Amino acid sequence: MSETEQIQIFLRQGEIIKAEKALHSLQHMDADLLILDILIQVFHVEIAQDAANTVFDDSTDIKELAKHFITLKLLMRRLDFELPEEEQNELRTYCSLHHVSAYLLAKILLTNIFHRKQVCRRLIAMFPEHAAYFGQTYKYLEETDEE
Amino acid sequence: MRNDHKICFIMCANDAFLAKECLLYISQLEVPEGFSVEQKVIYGAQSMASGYNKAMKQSDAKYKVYLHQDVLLIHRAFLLDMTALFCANPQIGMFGVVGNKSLAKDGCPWSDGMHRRIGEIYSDLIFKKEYSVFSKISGSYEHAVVLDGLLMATQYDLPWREDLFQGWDFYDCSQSLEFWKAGYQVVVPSMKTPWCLHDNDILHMEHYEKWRKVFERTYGNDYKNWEAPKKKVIFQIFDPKKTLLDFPYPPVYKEEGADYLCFTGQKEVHSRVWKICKIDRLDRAAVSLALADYEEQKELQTDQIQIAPLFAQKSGEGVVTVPALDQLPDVKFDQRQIKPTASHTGAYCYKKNPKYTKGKYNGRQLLLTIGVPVSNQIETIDRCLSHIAPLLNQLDAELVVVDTGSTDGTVEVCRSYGARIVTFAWCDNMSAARNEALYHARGAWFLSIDDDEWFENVDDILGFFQSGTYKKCDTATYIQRNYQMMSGSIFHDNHTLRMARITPELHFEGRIHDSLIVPAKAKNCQLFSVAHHYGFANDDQKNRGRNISEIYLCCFTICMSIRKSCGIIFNWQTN
Repeated sequence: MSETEQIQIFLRQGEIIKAEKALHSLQHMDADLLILDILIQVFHVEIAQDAANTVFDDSTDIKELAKHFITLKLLMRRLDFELPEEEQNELRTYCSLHHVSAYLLAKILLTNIFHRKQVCRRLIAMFPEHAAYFGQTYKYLEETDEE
Repeated sequence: MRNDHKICFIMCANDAFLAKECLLYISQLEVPEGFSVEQKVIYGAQSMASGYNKAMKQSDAKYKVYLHQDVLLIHRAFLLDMTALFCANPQIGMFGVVGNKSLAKDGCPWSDGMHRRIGEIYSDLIFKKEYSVFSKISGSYEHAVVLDGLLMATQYDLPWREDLFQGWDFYDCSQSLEFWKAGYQVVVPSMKTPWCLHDNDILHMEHYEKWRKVFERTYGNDYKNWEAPKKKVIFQIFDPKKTLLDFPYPPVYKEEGADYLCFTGQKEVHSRVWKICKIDRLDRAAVSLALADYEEQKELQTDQIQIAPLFAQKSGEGVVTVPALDQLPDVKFDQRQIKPTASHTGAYCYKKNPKYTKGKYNGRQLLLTIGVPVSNQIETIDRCLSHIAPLLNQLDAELVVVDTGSTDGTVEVCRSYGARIVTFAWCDNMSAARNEALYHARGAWFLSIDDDEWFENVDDILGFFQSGTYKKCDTATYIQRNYQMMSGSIFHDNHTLRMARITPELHFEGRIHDSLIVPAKAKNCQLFSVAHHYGFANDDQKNRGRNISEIYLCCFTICMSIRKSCGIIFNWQTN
C-alpha cells in the first residue's frame, strides 16, 4: 500500500490527525497532497471555531478535495481579475451548494489571491452572513496590503 | 486562404474544467475591430507538438495563440496589443510572455538560475502566489532565444516538430528556434502588468531529461551561437518651431525592426507611429539616457521625413527635409492663417449646421441654397452666376456668397444677383469656405459651385427639384468638366457630389481635394447638368500660386520627387 493510499484510508475513517501525520512524513508531495495539507489546516480552524460544516463533510476523496479546492480558487480568481458580475456570482452558488466555510475562503484569499483587499470587499458584499469575519480579515489586509 | 483578420486560440487540454475557465477569460478580451476569434481545444493529443499541428492546420487564422489550459489571459487588451505588435513588426514571427535571453549549455532554460529569463507573469503555486518579474522589458520588446510554452502567439505558421518531440517538454524551445532559423524574430513584449496568470502546480519532470537531450542534440549549435539582433532606434527631439503640426511627421518608409521614439517636453504631441516620450527637462543628456539600451541609433530632425532605410544609408540619405511653407516658390502663404482641420484623434473639426423648424421645406425656409466661395474672380463671376439664374428665379432658392477678400468688384456683381454676402478670412482651406456657406444656408438642399465654374444648362437640376425627385434622395451629383488647357481641347468629366440635403452634420472635408461628407447609406441621384471648370488649366498664368493646390505642382516640379511630395501633401491635406 502506498503512503497516499494510507492517507486516503485515514481520511475515509475520519482520522484527520493521523492523515496529517502521515502526510507530513512524506518527503515529496504532489499537487493533490499539497492541497490536502492546506485543507487540513483549514479543518483545524473550522473545528476550533465550531463551524457548522467542515471541509471534509462533503468528501474525503483526495482527488475530489483537490478539485473542490481548485474550483474555489478559480471562482475566487474571477473576483480577483474582475470578471463580469454574473461570472463572479457563481462563487456564491457554489459555496451554498457545497457548504463552504468562511475559513476556507479566507485561506484561499490570503494565499492565492493577488488583489486581496478588492476581493475581500467583494466577499463581504457577497456573503453578508460572514461579513463580520471577512471584516476582520479586511482590517488585517489594510495593515499589510497596498491597494 | 489565410484570413488576415482572424485570431485562433489553440490549446491542448486534458482537464475540461480548466480549459473552460481558460476560455472564459479569452471570451472577455477586447477584439480588434473587424477581427473574428475562434478557439480550438484539442483533447487527447499524443504530444503538444502534434496537438498544435492538428489545430494549426484546421484554422485559417493569420494570428494564432497557443496556450496552456492553466493559463488565464487577464490583460483585456491582449488582442489589441498583439495585433498592433505584429502589424508594426512583420519581422516578428512569435512572441511570448516569458522567455530566455540565453540558455545554459545543456539547453535548460533555468538549470543555472533564472537570470536569463525575461518577461513577467502572475503565478499560483497552490501554497503561495507570485508576481514574477524576471526582467522588465526595455523598449517595446526584447528578443528571446526561446519562449516559455505557457503562451506563444504567432503571425506565421511553421509546423511544430512533432517528428522530434513526442512529449510535453521542449516543444516550445524547439519552435522558438525554428522561427529564428526561418528568419523570423522571437520576442517578449513590454507589459505594464502581467498579461497572464499561470496556475503552476507541481511540474511533471518524468520525461524532461529525455526531451532535453533531443533538444540539445538538434539545436545545440543554434542556441549556443544565437545572438540577439541589434536593437535599433530612430528618434527625434520634437521642435515645435520647425513644424506647424502637433505631431511628428510619420515616415513614408518605416524601418523594419526599429523603434520610433519622439522626445518632447510638450503635453499635446500624439502619433500612431512614433512612441511619444515626454521628458520634463528636455536635453541631450536625458535623451541619451533614454536611448542607452539601443545599439544602433539614427536621429531625424522635426522637419525631416524618412523615405528610405536609414541604417543602410550614409548620413543624410533616406530623408527629405520639408521646406517651410513660405520657402516654397510662387506661393504666398501666411502660415498663421493655416489652422488644423482635424483633432489629434483624426476627427474632422467643423461646426454643425443650425436646425430650423418653421419653414415649409422640412422646417427650412427655402428649397435650395446655392453656395459660392469667391475671391477676386471678376472675369468669371458673372458667367458663373448668370448660368445659375434659372435656379434662383424658378425655385425657392437663395444665393450665399462666401467672400474671402475680393477687392476687384466680384462682391458687387454677386449682390446684383441678390446674393447674401458672408465675409470669411481665407485659411488655405477650400472646405472651410464651403462649410461657411453651408452654415449660413436657409435652404433644405445645398448646391456648391466655384466662382470659376459655370453650368452649360441647369435643366436637369431644375427638373430634379420641380418633379419632386429630390424628396426621395439625399444627395445628387452633376458633371464637372475639368479642362487641362485653356483652349478647351483637353478635359475630363467626372460626376461630382456637390448637392445634398442639409443636415446638421453635412460638411466638406479636405483642404484641397474637398469633398462632401454624407452618410454611407445616402441615396444619390445622378444628374447630367454639365459645369465647365478651368480652375486646373495649367497653361493659365492666373491659376499659378492662387491657392494651396499650387503647392502640389511646385513640389512636384521643383522641390522633390513624387514620393516626397505625397508625404508633405498628405500631412497638409489630412491635418
